[in-house]
Amino acid sequence: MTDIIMFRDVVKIYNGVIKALDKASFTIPNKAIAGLLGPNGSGKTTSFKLILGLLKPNEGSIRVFGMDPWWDEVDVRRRIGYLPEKPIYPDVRVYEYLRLVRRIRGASREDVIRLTKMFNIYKYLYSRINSLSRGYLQRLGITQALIGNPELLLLDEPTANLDPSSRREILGLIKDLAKELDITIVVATHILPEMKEIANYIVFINKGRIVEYGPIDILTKRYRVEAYYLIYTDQPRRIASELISEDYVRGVEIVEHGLILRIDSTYSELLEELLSTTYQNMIHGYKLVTGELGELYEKLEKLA
Amino acid sequence: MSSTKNWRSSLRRVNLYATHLLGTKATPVYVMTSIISFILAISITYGAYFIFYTFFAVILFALVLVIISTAARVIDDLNEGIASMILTAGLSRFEYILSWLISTVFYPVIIIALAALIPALVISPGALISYRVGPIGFVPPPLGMLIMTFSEQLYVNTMFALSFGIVYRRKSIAWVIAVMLTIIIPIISPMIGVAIALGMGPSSISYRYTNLVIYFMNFLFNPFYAYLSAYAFDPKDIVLPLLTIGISGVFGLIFTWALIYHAKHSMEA
Ligand SMILES: Nc1ncnc2c1ncn2[C@@H]1O[C@H](COP(=O)(O)OP(=O)(O)OP(=O)(O)O)[C@@H](O)[C@H]1O
Ligand SMILES: [Mg+2]
Repeated sequence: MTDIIMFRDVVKIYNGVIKALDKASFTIPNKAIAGLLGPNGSGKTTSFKLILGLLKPNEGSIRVFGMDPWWDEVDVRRRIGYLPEKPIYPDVRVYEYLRLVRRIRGASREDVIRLTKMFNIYKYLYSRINSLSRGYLQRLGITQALIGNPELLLLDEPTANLDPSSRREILGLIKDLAKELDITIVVATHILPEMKEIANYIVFINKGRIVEYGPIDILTKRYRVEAYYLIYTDQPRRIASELISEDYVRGVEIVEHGLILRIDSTYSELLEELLSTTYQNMIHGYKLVTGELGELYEKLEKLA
Repeated sequence: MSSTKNWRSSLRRVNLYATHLLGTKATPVYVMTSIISFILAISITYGAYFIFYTFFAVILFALVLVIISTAARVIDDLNEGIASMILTAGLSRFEYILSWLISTVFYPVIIIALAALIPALVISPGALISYRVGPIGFVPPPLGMLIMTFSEQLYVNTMFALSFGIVYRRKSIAWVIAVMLTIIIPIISPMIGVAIALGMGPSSISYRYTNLVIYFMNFLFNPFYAYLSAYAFDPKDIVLPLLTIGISGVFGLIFTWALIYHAKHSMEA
């Protein structure tokens, strides 16, 4: 996999004093579904704006599709779909805005109609953008981002400020996109669980510094992140006494209907294999309880 | 590196966004421009331009204010973040600024100039270059020079005001500069001119100096006023009018370039 985004020692200072990025270096490989994770004010939106060539770095170099986004701005931006954190649209009707984007990007009318149907904003085409609800604004945001078949999709806090049901809907849409489109997607968020099922790569940023980045499976191994398994069984004591001797098992707790096993997550596959063969007849089922990502996040946060 | 294809697609995008602006934010400019163009065309068609040019100052002022109030909305768009939405659609900073300039400044100035030039060419091309005796023996300046300096002033005034507005990202600065150039300087310059003339003691020579002072206070930014005072100073002189047109033209170009250069290099959306 080649890298689609490359930051090297990037420094971005606002108004001469606010250091939003401090020697940030990371890469995101082509076709990754990446999470740009970090608390509020850590520099996620700033990173996106730098990727898009909307901001100029004070120091360091940035390559997107192998180009410098500040100087090759049009060639870079035309290939990126961007859902801003707080989109501010001109005060026009939905179709007028989509038509403008479509024409600038040279996409076909059919393409846009298909997208508006896919995201269910077809019936709002003649509404003024300012009259749309948050949920539909977000749909419009994703629609305009996808016009012209971008190779890279940047979603900045796609579920922020949405009610739970809209949140679920938008998350579902993103998941579908990740599955259906063969493109790179980067989602900036501080809401970790949302990324758990989608991402295969993370960049963790805190106070403008990149704490860690890489494929999730490698990072969980590197940080020896623990996984918790809830095992449903009638013979918890027996299984516990057998497994406790294994190196990778860090702890066992007997609970109602079974036991909780805490293990080195590197060995998840081995354990699952064991559970579905050797212990198959002794258990009723098992479930991974805490996300590996959750713990990784905590570990990285302590590191930062 | 920039092939013709790049140039063409760049122009296509500029045209697209300029057209979009024309149909949305720039509409007031076109309403105003059309009305004034119509009046201008009619009065020239009926040979009434010598009456008309008495009102040029008012019309010029109104036009500058309408153009600035529309063009300066680019500053709101930059500050509020609408600009970054448009940029992410796939426009460069250069194309973005150029679209605004074209739809809010270039087009209106060209429309006004054509609305005066075309009827004059059709009805009496001679009026464009030659002096004609008006009523009560008054000899008005050639229409061609009036139109040329008028359009130049409109362009230089709005461009200069807009450049500073964009540099400081504040609409009020564009407004203050526009008002300074189109109202304050033209009002102050005769006062100073008269004061100097009075100091010299009333004579036909001091009257000429009044006009010269007005000329020099205006010739950089206000070629139209400068031209009128140069004409009043000596209707047959050709050096000062040409100097005015040339220098203001260069000035307009410099400010166009400065504005686009600045926008391209420091416009962070
Ligand atoms: N236009 C700006 N002018 C000045 N400071 C800014 C600007 N934009 C961001 N900052 C500052 O830069 C830092 C990083 O901001 P950024 O928006 O990139 O963070 P973020 O990770 O996106 O945060 P959030 O989760 O709140 O969206 C913050 O301290 C913020 O206050
Ligand atoms: Mg943000």
